[in-house]
Amino acid sequence: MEIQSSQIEQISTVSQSSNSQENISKKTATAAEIQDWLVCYLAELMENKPDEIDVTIPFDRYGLDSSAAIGMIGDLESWIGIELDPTLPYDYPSIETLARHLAEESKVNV
Amino acid sequence: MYRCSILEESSCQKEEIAMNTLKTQNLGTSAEAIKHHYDVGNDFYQLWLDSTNTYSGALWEENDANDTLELAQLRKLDFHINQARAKGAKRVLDIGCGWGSTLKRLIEVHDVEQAFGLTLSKAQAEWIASLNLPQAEVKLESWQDHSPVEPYDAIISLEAFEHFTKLELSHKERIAVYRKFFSHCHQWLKPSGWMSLQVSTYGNSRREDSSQFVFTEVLPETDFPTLAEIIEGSERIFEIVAIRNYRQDYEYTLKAWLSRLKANRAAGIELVGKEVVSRFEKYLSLSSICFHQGISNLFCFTLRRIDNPRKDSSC
Ligand SMILES: C[S@@+](CC[C@H](N)C(=O)[O-])C[C@H]1O[C@@H](n2cnc3c(N)ncnc32)[C@H](O)[C@@H]1O
Repeated sequence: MEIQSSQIEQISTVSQSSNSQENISKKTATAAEIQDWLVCYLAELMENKPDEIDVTIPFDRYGLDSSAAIGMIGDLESWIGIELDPTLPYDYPSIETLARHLAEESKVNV
Repeated sequence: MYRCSILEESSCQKEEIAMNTLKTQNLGTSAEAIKHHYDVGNDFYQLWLDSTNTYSGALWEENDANDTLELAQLRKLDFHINQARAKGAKRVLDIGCGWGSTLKRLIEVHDVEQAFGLTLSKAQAEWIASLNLPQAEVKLESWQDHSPVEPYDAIISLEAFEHFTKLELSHKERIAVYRKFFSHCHQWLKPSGWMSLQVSTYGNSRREDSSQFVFTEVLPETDFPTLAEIIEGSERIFEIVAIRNYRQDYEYTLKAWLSRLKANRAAGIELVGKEVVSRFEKYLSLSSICFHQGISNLFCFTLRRIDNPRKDSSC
């Protein structure tokens, strides 16, 4: 993932639209719920349909650079209601692995 | 010993003359650009830095779940003070002294008689003046213009080096600035004096990959060196006694700052506005990714002054 800021503006627009539907704190989100959120988020960002998003593909294959990854984690943080590390998409580099990890984390944090 | 330093001066003359063209020119961060970053408000930085207001990577104790940002910062300061052999010294210089945490530590814990600090930030100089440290002397002055009345026993510089050049400089200009910096430190140090330096560098990345956001919006007129450039800049002026990469420690520090800033977001917005707070959050997030991934490194150098630099080279 390259270090670019070009998508920061874009990200905040995405976050407003995708999060306005659901603004509740999801302290005990399941892996499936988190996965759905990430699929919708990436689909909207990439202007794809949700069913075109493969949950096993690494984020950077979707062209998600570091700024976009920060935007995604920031929005996910507001949705899920727990503080998230900006480096998470690097340690858990696909939708599936990230969702599974966060579901575990949010259980621990309740 | 003194004869030795006179000889060194003459061997430095050639370089000094060559440097004259650079003398009045500031090839690093301007006072204006420093203000943009460091003078956004002392109270804002206090919200997310530790209680000592140290603004550089801390050194964490691995496997100690009870370690805190404060302890890690003090451990870092003590590390550099030890590396620079500054304990009990008469005169110690801190180049780029921030809000004075190293000066305070030198005086209060390490029995240093006089601690001198240089900064380009007015807000920092004012802050240090308010600390009531009669043995500390702070100048709002660039290292380029510094000219001490007496030599120093030791020099420390933590993450100021990144401000000495900017992105657009050529390799030659950059190395000339770094050599000038090390030559000045050489002149200011007593024979066999030590220096401890902490610098963020490019790691598994190239200058052309560097973030426009960081180097224009957050830290304008700033640039990282590479490890090789620091070595080239110091060769035959200082002997490198130890180098260590603490990039993971920097990742933890950046995350600790980010977490504190997020926890104090509302207070931050109140002080400096939403735009500045989100700029800093983005900057800390991006930087923690860079140090996590090894895109950037954090090097600590222990350097010893070479008292008889090879004559026919630039000193
Ligand atoms: C990242 S801060 C580090 C502060 C401090 N060393 C610490 O660890 O808390 C960088 C410092 O370098 C200073 N600085 C930048 N350019 C400088 C220059 N040319 N001469 C002296 N200080 C400079 C800044 O004013 C600032 O205090």
